[in-house]
Amino acid sequence: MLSRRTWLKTTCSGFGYLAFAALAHAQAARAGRPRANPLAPQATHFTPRARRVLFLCMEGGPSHVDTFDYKPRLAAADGTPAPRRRGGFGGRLLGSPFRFARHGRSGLWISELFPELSRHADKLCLLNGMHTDLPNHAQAFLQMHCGVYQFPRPSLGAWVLYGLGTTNDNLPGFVTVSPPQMHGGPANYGASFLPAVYQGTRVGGGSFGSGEQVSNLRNSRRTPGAQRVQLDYVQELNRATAESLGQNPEIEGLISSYELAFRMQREFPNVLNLREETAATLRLYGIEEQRGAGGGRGGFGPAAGGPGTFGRQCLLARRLLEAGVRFVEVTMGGWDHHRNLRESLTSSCRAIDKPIAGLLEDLQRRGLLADTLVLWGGEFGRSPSAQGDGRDHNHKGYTMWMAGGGVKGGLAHGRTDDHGFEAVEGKVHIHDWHATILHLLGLDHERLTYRYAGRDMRLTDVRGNVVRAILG
Amino acid sequence: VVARAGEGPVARFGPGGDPIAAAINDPRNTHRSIYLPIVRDRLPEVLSLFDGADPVLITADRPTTTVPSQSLFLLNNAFVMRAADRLLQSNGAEADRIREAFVRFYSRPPTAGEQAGAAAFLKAYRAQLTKDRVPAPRQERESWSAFCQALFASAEFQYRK
Repeated sequence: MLSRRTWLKTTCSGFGYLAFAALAHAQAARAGRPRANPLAPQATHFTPRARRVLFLCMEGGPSHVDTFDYKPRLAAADGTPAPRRRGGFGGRLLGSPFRFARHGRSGLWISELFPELSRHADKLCLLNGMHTDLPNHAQAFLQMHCGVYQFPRPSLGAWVLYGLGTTNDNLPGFVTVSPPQMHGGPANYGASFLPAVYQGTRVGGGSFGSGEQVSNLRNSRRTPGAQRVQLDYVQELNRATAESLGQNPEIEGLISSYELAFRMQREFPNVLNLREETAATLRLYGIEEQRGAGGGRGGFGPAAGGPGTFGRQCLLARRLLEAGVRFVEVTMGGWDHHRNLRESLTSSCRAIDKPIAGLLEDLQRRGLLADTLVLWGGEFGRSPSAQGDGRDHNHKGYTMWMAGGGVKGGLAHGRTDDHGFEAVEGKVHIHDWHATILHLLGLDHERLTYRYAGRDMRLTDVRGNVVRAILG
Repeated sequence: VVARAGEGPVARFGPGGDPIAAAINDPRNTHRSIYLPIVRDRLPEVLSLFDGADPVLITADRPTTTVPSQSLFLLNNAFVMRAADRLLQSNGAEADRIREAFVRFYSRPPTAGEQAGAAAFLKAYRAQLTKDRVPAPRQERESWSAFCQALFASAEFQYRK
């Protein structure tokens, strides 16, 4: 019989070897990561179809059967018991109160809730067979962003920035506009075990207590001129330190970081300023339609009410993308329509319809849509069965869509069952969604890794299949 | 930063829309500790900027990054400026105050060159404030505050040799 002691003794040199192996590994890992500037543009694994990403994140779980997943049989069976004991609350089916029609040359079915967006049907790639692991907000929202629902991992935006770097050093590479405090909060745009430089920079929300749109971007006391004098002195001290230490990449890094920061605080406010946009552009995004309500004038805080706030956020997103930001996310809350579906869903859709249509139009006019990947969707969909006058959560089948960079437009990929409970064809799990996004950016989800806790970690962990059918 | 500014702990936090975020990011929060109670998904901003370990992860070895968001914190955050203000309280001749600051920040006196460099900075900063039409009584206070903040932001304060 081989004892554990003998085994360790004979196989290598016991625990000492294990410690040595770990150290040697750490050293090798360190040697293998000499990125002078961690945000410098990186080579992709293959030719990218998209160079930047905009994620329009609909927090709460928008209903698929009332928007992009046409279910005539659900409408026909309205009020009858749900089959196979599906759905709680009496399990009666609830046909969509909204009319559907075919749109564009492709004839995609889209409901009357999106009169403006449906004009762009031929740009949309509907993923009607989405599914995720859990029907609970916190877990599903985290999984949509980080791949797992148990604990935070680097967010999709952080992985993208890590994989691609950024083309504009004067701005953050990953910006998240008005992210929610709930459902994992900052974990959804965090870097987790990736270096902090890859975390999302938050615009709007203002919970840093200062009321600023972006934290630490402005100095409340020192004028720009005075700050330049001060920074020159800091750099003088730093250069003296660098000289006394000889070659030192850390001090060199610190010196260039200060110069970057100074440029960032000059450039970032310009990008945040929507005043230089024309009245026609503002109209395009539906901004003139609502003043004062929701988020305050000129603010990028959480959207509420009409399209004004979300329009401003979408316009800001375009400005950020145009300026070279790699990954932009805009969150719109309030999609958890358990009650009063008819009115509350109408109002949520109205708030995003014109802004998104305007955004797609604007991106195309500026030649940005071809290599910008636009993503839309929430953490899950909503049940085809009624919950009072609303719908409950539904994670086994729902819809997200993509547009732009490298995806086929005017395509409905996958489908749910007759009523919309479960994805049955062309199923796309959230891991597949992640793998496909990375693929479109020229990154192989199996090769984009970061060593943490002794393992080469991936966004898709050990899962994920690229959805090749939607690649344009 | 808290230690150099010679501040003791304060117990009260300011109000705000999000009491947790307001409390942990309050510039008047001068707690320092080896064991810091952390609300699981609310890492204080300063820790999240400076590679603080994510409280829900097992972290054996933290990455060390040097990035602009950290520089912006040191240049613009009220916490840093407040700490710099606290150091103004000593009086005396300019040369003595410069010397005292170097001893306090770097645990060593300034070289002759550094002494001259600091004096030159103070002069240049006052000149800029005059240009920016800052009233004279505030100039003195602002210049020393800017000087102390510069030392906080310097490499020698941030890195061990």
